[in-house]
Amino acid sequence: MKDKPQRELLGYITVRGPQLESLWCHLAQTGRTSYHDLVQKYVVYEPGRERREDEMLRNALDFLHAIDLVIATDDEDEDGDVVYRANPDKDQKLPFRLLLLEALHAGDDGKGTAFAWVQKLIAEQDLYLVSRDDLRKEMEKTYRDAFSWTDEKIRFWLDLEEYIGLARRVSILRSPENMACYPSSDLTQMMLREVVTGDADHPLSARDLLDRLQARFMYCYTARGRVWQGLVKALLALERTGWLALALHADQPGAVEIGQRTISEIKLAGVRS
Amino acid sequence: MTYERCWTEANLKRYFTTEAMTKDAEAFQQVHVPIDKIRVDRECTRGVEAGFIGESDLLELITQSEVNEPNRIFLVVGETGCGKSELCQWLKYNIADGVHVPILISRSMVKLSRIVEEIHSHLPGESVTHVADITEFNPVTVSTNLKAKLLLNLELMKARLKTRDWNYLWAIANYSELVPLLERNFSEYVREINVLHKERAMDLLPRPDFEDLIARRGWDLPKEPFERYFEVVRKAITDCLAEQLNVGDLIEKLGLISERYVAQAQRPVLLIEDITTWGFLKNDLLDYLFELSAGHYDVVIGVTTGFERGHREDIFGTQETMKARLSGRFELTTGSSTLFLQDNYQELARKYLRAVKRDCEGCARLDSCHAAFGRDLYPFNPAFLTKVYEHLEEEGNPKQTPRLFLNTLQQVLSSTKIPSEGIGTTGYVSDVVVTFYEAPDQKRRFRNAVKWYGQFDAVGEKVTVPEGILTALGVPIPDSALVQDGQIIVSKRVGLRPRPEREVEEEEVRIPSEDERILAEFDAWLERGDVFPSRNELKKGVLGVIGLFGLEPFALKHPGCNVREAEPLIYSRGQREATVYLDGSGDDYRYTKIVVPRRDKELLDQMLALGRGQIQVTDERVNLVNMEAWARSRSDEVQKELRASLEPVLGFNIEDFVLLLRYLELNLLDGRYSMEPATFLSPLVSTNMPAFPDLPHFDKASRPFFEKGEAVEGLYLAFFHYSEKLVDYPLLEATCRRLQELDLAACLGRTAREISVNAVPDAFVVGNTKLRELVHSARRYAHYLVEVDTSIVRQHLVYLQVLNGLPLAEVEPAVYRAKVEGLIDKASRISLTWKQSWDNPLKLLRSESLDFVGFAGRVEAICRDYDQDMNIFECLSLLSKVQEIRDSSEQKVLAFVNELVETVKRVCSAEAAGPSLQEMAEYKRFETLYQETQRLAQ
Repeated sequence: MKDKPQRELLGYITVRGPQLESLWCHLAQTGRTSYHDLVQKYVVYEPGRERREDEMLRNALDFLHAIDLVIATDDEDEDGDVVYRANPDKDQKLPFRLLLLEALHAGDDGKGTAFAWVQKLIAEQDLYLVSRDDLRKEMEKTYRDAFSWTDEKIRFWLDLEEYIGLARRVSILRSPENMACYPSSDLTQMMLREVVTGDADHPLSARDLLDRLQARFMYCYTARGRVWQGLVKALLALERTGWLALALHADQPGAVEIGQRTISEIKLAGVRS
Repeated sequence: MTYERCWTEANLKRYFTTEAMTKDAEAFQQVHVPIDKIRVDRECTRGVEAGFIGESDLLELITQSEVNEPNRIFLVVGETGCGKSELCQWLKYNIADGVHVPILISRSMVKLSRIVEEIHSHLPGESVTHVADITEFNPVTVSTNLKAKLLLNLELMKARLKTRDWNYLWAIANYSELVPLLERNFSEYVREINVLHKERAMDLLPRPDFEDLIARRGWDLPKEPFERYFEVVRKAITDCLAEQLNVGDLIEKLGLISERYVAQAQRPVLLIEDITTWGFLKNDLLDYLFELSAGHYDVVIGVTTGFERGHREDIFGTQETMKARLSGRFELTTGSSTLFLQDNYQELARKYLRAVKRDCEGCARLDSCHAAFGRDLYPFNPAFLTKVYEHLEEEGNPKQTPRLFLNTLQQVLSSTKIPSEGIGTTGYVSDVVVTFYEAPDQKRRFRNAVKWYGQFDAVGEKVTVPEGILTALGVPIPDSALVQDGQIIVSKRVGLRPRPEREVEEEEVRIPSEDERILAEFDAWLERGDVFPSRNELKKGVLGVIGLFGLEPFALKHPGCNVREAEPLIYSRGQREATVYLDGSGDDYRYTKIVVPRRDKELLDQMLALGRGQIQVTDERVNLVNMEAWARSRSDEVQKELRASLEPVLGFNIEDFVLLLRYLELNLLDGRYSMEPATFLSPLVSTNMPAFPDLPHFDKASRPFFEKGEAVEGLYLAFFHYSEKLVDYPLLEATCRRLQELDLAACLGRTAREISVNAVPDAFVVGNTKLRELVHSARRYAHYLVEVDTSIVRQHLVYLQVLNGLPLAEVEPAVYRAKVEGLIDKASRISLTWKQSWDNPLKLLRSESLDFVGFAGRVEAICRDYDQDMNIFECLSLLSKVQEIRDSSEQKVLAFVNELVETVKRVCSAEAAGPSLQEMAEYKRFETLYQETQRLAQ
């Protein structure tokens, strides 16, 4: 088994979500595949050039390896070639966006957690509309010692979060904010489906549910312990469509503040409770 | 007329109490409204068939028991303030069969000492236990004692526990974090116990705290020992508290009461308004009650919905246990709403109002008051009460309970302001948002009265209020208000966007507002689908939202494509606003547009405001999550429709068609013919239009398609590439496979014969090329390929086979060059005219770049690959290679030498210095060319 790449995650600035998804799905379907084979399949061949320009592919595979979604081993049959396979411990039925989010949220060291740091700061400071530059400055203030924060890194973070659905670029007239931070409706639905158990006899309290969400996918609370407004907006939007119901049952433990409301239970439509 | 408050503060206090038990019996009977809708949980209830019952049915069910029957437990579940206490108290007043004796443990018995008193009242002659008031205890003393008790219990249990378990428990008891934790929780409890509506369950060691404690201790315990340890520690805490409070025998006394009543042929009915009142004893109490044979009680237990949900295991153990042991489970609420209140809130209000008011019968205004407000409802009316009921909320959530409803009425009645003003300060009613059109003489006071007392018409455009109400409240009626038959009629906006109301000065001149006109049009369109002449304002907002998220609904491409040269398939038709369709607004729908449905009023209202520049997306009312979901949904619909409009016309899905076009292009220019992903993985080598002079009309048929090459390449990149160097292999592979399965010849036939070019929507473009033209050129080219006679390939093969027969591979370019130079030297000595066209081949010959070995290899490969059954793409590939041979330097040199030899021979013959004419004819035979060249050179 090869060691994980040591490069900091935010340094893989050419990597994009759809590429990662394609590689993951391909590896999950085909099983062990050598790097050479992947190059033959994915990378354009320029006649007359000695080798293919495979940097993007290598970056994408290294990234997947670094976040533990794929496993890399040295091939014993072919000289120096690396063989990749999807990590069998990962739930292959999970939508890739969720897998990716889960993996990024669970980074296990300083370099790996940089992705989660950004989202953590956004939640803790209760940010919703923000400019990339302000976000970079805030990251610099809070995580100065980690590494140098550049606009490229923030842009790369935004690229992946945009793919996942946790932040997006927006263009607002006469406004410096160019990012909106909130989980999209469909991402919120996917995450909640994952963490909610449909056990009517043991309904989860709102706090338990959000704690689970925080443990697996995203930071949910502000530094003051309220629910992050980005998530609040997503929950309220889903309540509006009837996809979920936010309820307050008197005396139910585990209530949380969602905007101006106190909520003790988040009920998903179709899950009896 | 001035607002008359015909009730007293004392009466308000007497009747509007928050707790049923704090009301005297007479007052209770006066205002009690029958709880006539109680949902029966059929899974847990025996002996009831109906889905809903009333309080009398419940009473009958409870009092059906025989004196000696074991405990029967009825659970009443509902939100706080929904009437559990009211129900218990009504049962207490109405259990009067002489056999059943009610014992009511009310919510107001916050302290255990009150419960003990109540229990002792049923045990005459028994010594009364003095119960300490826990709230007076010092938290440090309590927590330290709890630890000591735990240690003592463990000492006593030492012999019975495994050493390992005992060691763990001993370590927990001695863990330095335990006492501070208990101290904190106890202090918290003492703080809450005096706040009536807060949960008062004293749980000094909740499960999460114990989990946390174990985790901080650094242990990772499996579930089984964890549960056991938790139970031991909890038991020690409960025992210790019971001991300290001197209530240890309370449960035993319950047993005694039961026995005594049975001895008198009576049966106690224990009515527990709220189980949490029992504090830390609740588990012991429940254990006693659910041990059905332990006593002879009918027990009604009130439990709040949330408490039941959060403590199900504590209360019932397993689900099976609950179902087996409960005699009935009943719900008073559904969601946020109290069942019996839904149809009775007007009656409830009427009873309370009748009770608190002074003698109405003697009032001079009685008739006019009843006529304007409704019988006994003054100072409210049915519309007012409905709005109050519908807008009740607690902590931001809707909550229709009698407690909130009555609290609100009480606060309004206590206020000196008229109800439509006083309602704003109650705190339990969310604002009723009504937007009125501007009318300078309509002041806030008038509008508030209209808003709260007004009856809205079916459409919601008009509000009607009895004139008598405003007169009675002393609210002036402005001139602009229409009065008909004693009713005041005011117009309002139907839309939902609230605009801050402002105080309008009397002298302000009314200016006809554009805003008002547009909003009225918008409302009419939204509600009834009327024509919306100013619809472009809304469309601007819609397009603004689509643009805000960078969506491109009219561009079809791979979602992950990020290639500069890519050319998505764009649907481009109409001016900007014309790409949005508002149903019924006056728009027509002749081609694909962003369809805006007449729903999501709130969003559309915001979009209209955005379109008009009245708000920004940064406005706090705008929820971008909603906006984005809406915009993406509209965009997806457009994309689906675009595909649906195109794919049936093409006969392929778009990806298949794009790849087929790319394949035709690669085949035409580079001669590639394999339908495999690798075929597509390298860019075109040749950029020149191939010339197949032997194929009749080839140029004419293929050139238009060739000229669309840039569009084809752009499309291919847009649909299959992530980046310039990276493709979506799975998509490419799947598309190749699909085209193979369809069969390439069949695909070509379909392209040639089945695509109706005119049916391709004219609005699709690829860069600067119209898709229709691209399809037309592809169709024409495909048609040619289907029809063309490929036997020409065989003719070329004859020529190539001759070449293949020559020993070209043995030609050493240097030797050959020297020999040809010799020939040229010879030619210079005869009267031969040098042709200009020979210059280039001669240059090629002298450039030393000739490779006859490679040339021979290519020739041989072509001859080897030839197959009589090859399809048209393979034929074209072959022709392309033949053309390469023809265009090669080697071939040009050979042809030049051939011609030179011919010319030399001719001149020599004319000068009678060379071979005969007959011999010259021999030179024309190509196969001898090389040998002759060599001979002549010598």
